[in-house]
Amino acid sequence: MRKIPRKRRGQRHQFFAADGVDEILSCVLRLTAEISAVKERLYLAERVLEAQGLHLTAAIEAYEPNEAQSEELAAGRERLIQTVLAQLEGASGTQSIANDNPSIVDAADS
Amino acid sequence: MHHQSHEHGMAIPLTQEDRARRAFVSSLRSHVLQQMSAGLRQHFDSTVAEENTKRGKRLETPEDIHRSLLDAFPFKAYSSVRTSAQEMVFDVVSDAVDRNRDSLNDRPTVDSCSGTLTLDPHLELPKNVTGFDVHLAPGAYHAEYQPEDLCAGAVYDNSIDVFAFGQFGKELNDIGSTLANYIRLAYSDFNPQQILDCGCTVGHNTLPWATAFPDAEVTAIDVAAPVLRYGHARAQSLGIPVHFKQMDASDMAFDDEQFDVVFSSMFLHELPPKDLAAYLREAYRVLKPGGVLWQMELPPMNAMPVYENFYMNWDTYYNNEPYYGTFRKQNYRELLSNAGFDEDNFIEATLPRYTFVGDAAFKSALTGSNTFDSLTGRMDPKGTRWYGFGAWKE
Repeated sequence: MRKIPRKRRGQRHQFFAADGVDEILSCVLRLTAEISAVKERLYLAERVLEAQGLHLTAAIEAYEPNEAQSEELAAGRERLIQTVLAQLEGASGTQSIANDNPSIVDAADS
Repeated sequence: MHHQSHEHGMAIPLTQEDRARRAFVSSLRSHVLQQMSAGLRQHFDSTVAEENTKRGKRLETPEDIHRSLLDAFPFKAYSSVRTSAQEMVFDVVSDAVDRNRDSLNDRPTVDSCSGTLTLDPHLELPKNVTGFDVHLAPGAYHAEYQPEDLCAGAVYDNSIDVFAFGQFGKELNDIGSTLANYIRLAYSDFNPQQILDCGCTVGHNTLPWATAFPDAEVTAIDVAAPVLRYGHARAQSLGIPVHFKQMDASDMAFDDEQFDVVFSSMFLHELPPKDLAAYLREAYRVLKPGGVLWQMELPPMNAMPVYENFYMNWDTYYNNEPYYGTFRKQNYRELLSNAGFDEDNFIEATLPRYTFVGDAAFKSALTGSNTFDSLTGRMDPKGTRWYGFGAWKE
């Protein structure tokens, strides 16, 4: 069983003359999508709590995440990084770079 | 949990994050196709066209305009953002489909509806389907990731939902609804019994034919098994009987003179010229005398203003749709007469969107003449007009 591929076959078209500009723009747009999703979730969270008579701001400032929650947040950050860097790295993050460049990895490990 | 915007038996559950990402990409596409494209047009009119006129250079063809804009910042920005938005359409739906792939296969089959699914595991898939990722869709629409797979169908259904930013209607079927209801209302004496949709994918635009003509038997063909499996399950869950068959439209297994209507939508411009000619000959062969070939397509170049032709051709160069421009350059009437149809039996129409304007307004619009402008064949909240053309068989 394979996952649905996240990158298409073939080269991306380069519109801007300088290398990487199109890719950086893609990163920025993906990042914006993630920020948009977070903003919407926070907005909804505030509305939901407000409807229940809870005021969020002070409680957030005072809150200390426990170990499991910290891990959950870290996994979320890794997913965000993979999404934002998708154009530079391929869908599976640093792993695909390692597979494509065994000699560099060997040299670095030696 | 919420599902994709159109509820049916194959809809997958979406988290709030899924929905927020999808909404963002729809908004981004809408922004690119309205605001950025308007900015590009303005730049062309105010700067590029003027400079070329001063230098005594006339921009007479879509290719001339394309070349004149290649170095213009608004063209680069529009194209780069549009490419990213297209990639993101697939990106924001694939996680949810991957998460739900087992449940998609395990959904109970609906037996209360008389639709069928017939696959042909020996069918050789054409190169325009397998050779490149059309529409920049990773894996295109035929790839299979597990036995009896229908993931590609789910990706297609969900990605069209994001891609269309509401412009195909809530059930993503406005094109089929518009074209089917045109035949129903413009030819009220015509009573088709057998209807065929070619290149149907998941059947978004097939199902409206069964609704518009409840007494007819509707058949839909495509070369890709996963979209047919999904389309069949989806139609069954909606209680709309359709016979989905895996078949190449350029080489159909049907008998001569079997259908009253042969329909397709957004199909011809994806075909290599040889396959297109073969398909049209096949369509003529399987049509009964008195039947009609009727297809939704991009409007022909010879009817559209030159800037619109440049604008539409973007997909040819940058959206992995290499046959799009070649198709639009042809004389559609001639294409059909080469396939056997009498030139005098050619029909064409530019139509308001049926599911947006409603039955009465749609009907009254049918008496007007055809309009070819920046709303024809484009996805525009201001009022898209779909283009249809075809021919009656004597």
